[in-house]
Amino acid sequence: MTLQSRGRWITASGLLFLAAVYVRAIWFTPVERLQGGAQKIFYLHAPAAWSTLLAMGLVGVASILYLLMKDERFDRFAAASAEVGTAFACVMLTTGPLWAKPIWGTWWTWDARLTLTLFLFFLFIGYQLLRGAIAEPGTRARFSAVLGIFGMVLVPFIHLSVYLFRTLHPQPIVLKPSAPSLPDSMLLTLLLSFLAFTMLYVGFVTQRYALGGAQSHVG
Amino acid sequence: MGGLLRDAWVLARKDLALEVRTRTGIVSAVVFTALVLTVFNFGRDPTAVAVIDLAPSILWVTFTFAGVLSLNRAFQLELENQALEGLLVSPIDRRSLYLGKLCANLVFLLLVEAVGLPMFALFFNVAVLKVLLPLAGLIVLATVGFVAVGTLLSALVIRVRFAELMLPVLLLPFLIPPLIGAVQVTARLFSGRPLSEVVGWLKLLLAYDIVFVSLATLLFPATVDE
Amino acid sequence: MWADGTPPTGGYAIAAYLLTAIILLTYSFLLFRRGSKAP
Repeated sequence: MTLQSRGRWITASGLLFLAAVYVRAIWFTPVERLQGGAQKIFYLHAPAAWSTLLAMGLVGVASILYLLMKDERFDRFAAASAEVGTAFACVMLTTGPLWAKPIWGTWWTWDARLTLTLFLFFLFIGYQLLRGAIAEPGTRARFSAVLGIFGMVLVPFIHLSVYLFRTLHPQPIVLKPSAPSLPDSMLLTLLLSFLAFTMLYVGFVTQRYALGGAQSHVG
Repeated sequence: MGGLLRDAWVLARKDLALEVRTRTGIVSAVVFTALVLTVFNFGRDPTAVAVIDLAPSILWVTFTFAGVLSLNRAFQLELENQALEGLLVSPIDRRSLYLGKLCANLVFLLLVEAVGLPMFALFFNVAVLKVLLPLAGLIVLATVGFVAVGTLLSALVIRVRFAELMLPVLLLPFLIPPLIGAVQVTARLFSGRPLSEVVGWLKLLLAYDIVFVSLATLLFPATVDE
Repeated sequence: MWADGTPPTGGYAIAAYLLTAIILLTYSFLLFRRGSKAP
């Protein structure tokens, strides 16, 4: 089976699994008392956050490995992960405000999560813009790797800055966000969703990676 | 290590000497700063918002604009003079190249800020002298971070089309931590809050500077090696 | 308010679920298509 087909299978399975998660989340998971139906957005938003951060982290790791070993497969992987990360960042940027509006009263809040997502999105876009602007593959790989590493190192700083800002400027809340300890059925839904999103990440990256290379035959 | 810094300083002096001789760079940056400050002034309704609320943001947005301008110019000069090729052929350690550029850009931007700050104090009637020392320290801290990342990113976009547009696009996410920190500390300084309140931010800025200068020094050779 | 006291915020959830599905399906579709066209 070629890498491309393998990727497709994983993606298709991921989508089916996500559909199952949808059903479970909407009809077979209890509604949270304080937030109402909107709390269910959490089952999509948190796993999307995980996928986005995973994508960025792996862009960074692949970039480091590329610079150390000059194996262009790492560069291909980084490019794939960046594109996939952009897609998941989009999911976060739509689910985030849709969750924020009923809970915090405004579409946008400069809280740590949303702000970080926004900047992850900009980083992914910038990374791909840079790649698109450099024609020579060797230069492109090297420069992207440098930017990728920088991006990965920036993430904790953004998180820290926003966290520091937020602790000094707490936001008024309209509805109280869910407590950290979830009842079992909700926890299971969340875990299943994480699994679905991880499958989708792997499937997407595999497909994108396969697209990025001349050869895609895997023994 | 000593050789690295010595070479860097030699390179920095060369760049700065060029700037001093032509003078257009620093003059245009200063004029630009004055223009931005003016626009900010006419953009607000003085009866609606007290200037002290906006002042920190105005100051740092102005510095950021001036900074991006300076960075673009710095590498533009390199391109025009084709000095980069000449340097690459020489046996100078690549990291000295970066540190030299960093030094030159830093001195240039600090100079612009040194002229911009009194202008800001004048235009917006802000009592800067009382907090001058901590404010100056903050400006240096934030500017180092800005120039560290900006200098490296300039090297990435130099051979790219639309470099002047690409640089801000790539750079701005990286400026968020130092900018937030700088604005927060400035606001507290202007309000007369004790320094102890801003220690957290200052530590963040310092960490940012150390991390990114080291990282950029480490990775710069990858941007110029063939 | 629903009868059991939970606020009627379900509309937001529906929108979020729909949009997420659209984004992920669109991206999947794009990848599938690019994969078919590649030599």
